[in-house]
Amino acid sequence: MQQIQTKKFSDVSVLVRTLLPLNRDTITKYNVLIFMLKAKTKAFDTKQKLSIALNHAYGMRVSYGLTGYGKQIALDARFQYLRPDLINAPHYVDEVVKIMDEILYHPLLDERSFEEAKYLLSRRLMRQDEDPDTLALKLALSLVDEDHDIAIPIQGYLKDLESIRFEEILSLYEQWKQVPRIVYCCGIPDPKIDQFLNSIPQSSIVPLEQSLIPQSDPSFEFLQKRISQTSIVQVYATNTSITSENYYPLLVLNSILGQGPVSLLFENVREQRSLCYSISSSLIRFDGALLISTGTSASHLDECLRLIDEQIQTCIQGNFSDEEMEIAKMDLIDMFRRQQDRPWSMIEQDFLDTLLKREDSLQERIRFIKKIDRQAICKVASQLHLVSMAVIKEEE
Amino acid sequence: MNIEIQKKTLKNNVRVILIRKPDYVQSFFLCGFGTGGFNVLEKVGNQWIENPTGCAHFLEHQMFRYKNEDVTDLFARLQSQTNAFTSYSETAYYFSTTASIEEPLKLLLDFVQDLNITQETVEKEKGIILSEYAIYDQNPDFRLIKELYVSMYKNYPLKIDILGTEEDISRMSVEQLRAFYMRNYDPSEMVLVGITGLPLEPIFDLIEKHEENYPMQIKEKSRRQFLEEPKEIVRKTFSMDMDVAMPYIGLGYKLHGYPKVEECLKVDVAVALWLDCVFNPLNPNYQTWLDDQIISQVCGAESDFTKDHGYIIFYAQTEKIEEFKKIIGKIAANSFFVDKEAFESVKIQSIARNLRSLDHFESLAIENMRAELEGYDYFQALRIVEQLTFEDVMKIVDSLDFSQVAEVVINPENKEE
Repeated sequence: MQQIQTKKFSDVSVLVRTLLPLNRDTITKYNVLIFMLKAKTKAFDTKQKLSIALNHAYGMRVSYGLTGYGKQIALDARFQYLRPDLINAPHYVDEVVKIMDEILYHPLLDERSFEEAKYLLSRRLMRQDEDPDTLALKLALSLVDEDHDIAIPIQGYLKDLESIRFEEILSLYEQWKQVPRIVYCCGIPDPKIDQFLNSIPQSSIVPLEQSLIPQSDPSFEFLQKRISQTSIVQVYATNTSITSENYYPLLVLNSILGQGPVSLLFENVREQRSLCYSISSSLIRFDGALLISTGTSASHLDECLRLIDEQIQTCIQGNFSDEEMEIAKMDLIDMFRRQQDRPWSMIEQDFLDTLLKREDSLQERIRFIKKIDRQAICKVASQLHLVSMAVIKEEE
Repeated sequence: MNIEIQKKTLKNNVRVILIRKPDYVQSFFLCGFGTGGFNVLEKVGNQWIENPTGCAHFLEHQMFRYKNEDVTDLFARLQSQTNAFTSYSETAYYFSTTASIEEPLKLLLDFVQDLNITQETVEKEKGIILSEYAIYDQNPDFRLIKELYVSMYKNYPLKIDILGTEEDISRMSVEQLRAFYMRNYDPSEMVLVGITGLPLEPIFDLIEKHEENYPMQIKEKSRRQFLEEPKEIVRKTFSMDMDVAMPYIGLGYKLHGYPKVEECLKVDVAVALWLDCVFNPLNPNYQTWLDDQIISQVCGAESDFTKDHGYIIFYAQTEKIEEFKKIIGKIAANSFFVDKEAFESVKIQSIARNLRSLDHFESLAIENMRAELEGYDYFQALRIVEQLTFEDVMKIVDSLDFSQVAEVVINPENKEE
């Protein structure tokens, strides 16, 4: 078990992770499975019993979720329980261990919960398509390259749901059970909990498998919906791997371009031209993708796209000020420091460092970011290549 | 808990609350004023003033100019991130940083106590706010709640969007914003909350010294006013079409407010506990509602009680509107048995949630500001749940009058109900 020892948080946070191949055929099934895993267990065989147990264990939090890491997905069980020294309850630690044991080893996977999982997942997927921003993102990613992992939605496919059979989920569960776990704990676990967590069969973290999205000709899709404003998502190939020496310059570039409210996109599209309320850029690190998202009126679409392109050209030509560059670096440094106040961020950072075999300390990372120069930023900017764009337009 | 709390009222009447959380890297400071979307009607002395709707929110956007520069840029130069929000009853400005706090804290105090706007800056902001309006307008969850407020209230300004109407946003003038600022942004109306890992005394000294630059200006306080609100709802049913995959339904029960703060807090906590018992997996019928596909994960209940209003709202995205209405009707009639063990578990969970809230800088600061503006102590209020018994809660729920209910349905386009 990887342990991050601290007493500054009220909760102890525990992550039990499995790394699995990201696959078009299994992604929807895994989504069904995680609904079932958290629904009920052998000892807590109704939602009511499980809810009472969690509430009684001082609102212990339990969740299952999926996260993409390049060609892999992480299937995570997450637990958060209040530090026992804050609570004057005699059997509290036993309750926590019991719940963890039930959730991890004794889920009640029956046909009823299977049908319920399919129903809940279908509702969630339908709702995601209702939201123009989410729909635009999903479409833009699907246009990149149908053979690349980035085109596989982590939430699964609505169209696959109906044909999934209960036996397939049971079989998937049996396979998943055999995969060794990666266990993290942020906080200081009570000896009983420590013993329980250490008893989970564990593996060391496997090497990262990733491939960058290709710099192909751009694909576009335009849809109309009865909405109030147009949603735009663009995907750019960065051609920069997370393991490359250009990765930190890419982080600074993203910060200059559109990570926050002090950025070229925010300043020139929102503040100067009043074309939108929100505009930002973000990175999908393991796939080598940079996203730009905004919402504007259909009548301003062309102007908005022109301005976005202008800001990218500004980055390529290095026409940003020293101050903009320094602010972008400070913003990044601040973001790294803040992670120390969030248990899940601390765990994630540790996981990534192990996955990527990074050994540099926070101080070394900060020193490295401070040294990044204009040339390095222009270099990564010059590799940006638009590969797809989805536009959900409001009807005239 | 390893936490230190200090409060002080300065000479100019700024109320300061500082909280120390040792070992934390970040610091979070927030300045709040008791003005928001509710500030449509105000009274100074005997004079009534009618503001354009959305005035407080528009001003919040414009406050980000200080000495002809964008405050966000100034904070960024100090390795700090800033933001603001406007709710119905308050407006708050804040920054957070992992670097030195001295300069950003002075900047926060300076920019909220200075107005630097022109007609040009006001005009420029309109497009941005109208885009923000559009984001909310196309969101079915938001529209459902907004239309429920419109259905429930005749005069009470919950029925008006915090952003205002599109017409008022488009017509907003520099004079209106300036007058609003002069009436409401005074040190005596301000609450400053800081949460940090740093020692508190030097911070108090810094704030105290800096606030000497800002004496109290207002002689007569402006107070927001509400027209008398009838007990009855305005629209019993309302439906509209949106580009959604499945209908949404909301049921809003119009209740009354509780003028005494202690009673109001008690009712607010009690009703929330009760809702956690009846419209939640703790209710054994919840599983049947799921099995019958009457509810999914998109459903919930929320309540709010202040001295001026009280309501409970239930909502869901469902094809089975009539079945959902029947369930909520039974809940409102208090006909579901509330299990005592379930109630005790909800109470424990609520106590734990309060403990956890102390780790979240932003919400902890906002809740402390809100409590100070409303006239109660946040940390004392956290203890209310410990004192509430099952019998107390059921007595409070029995006293609620569920006779006034408004229904709003959002249908998928081209689908007639």
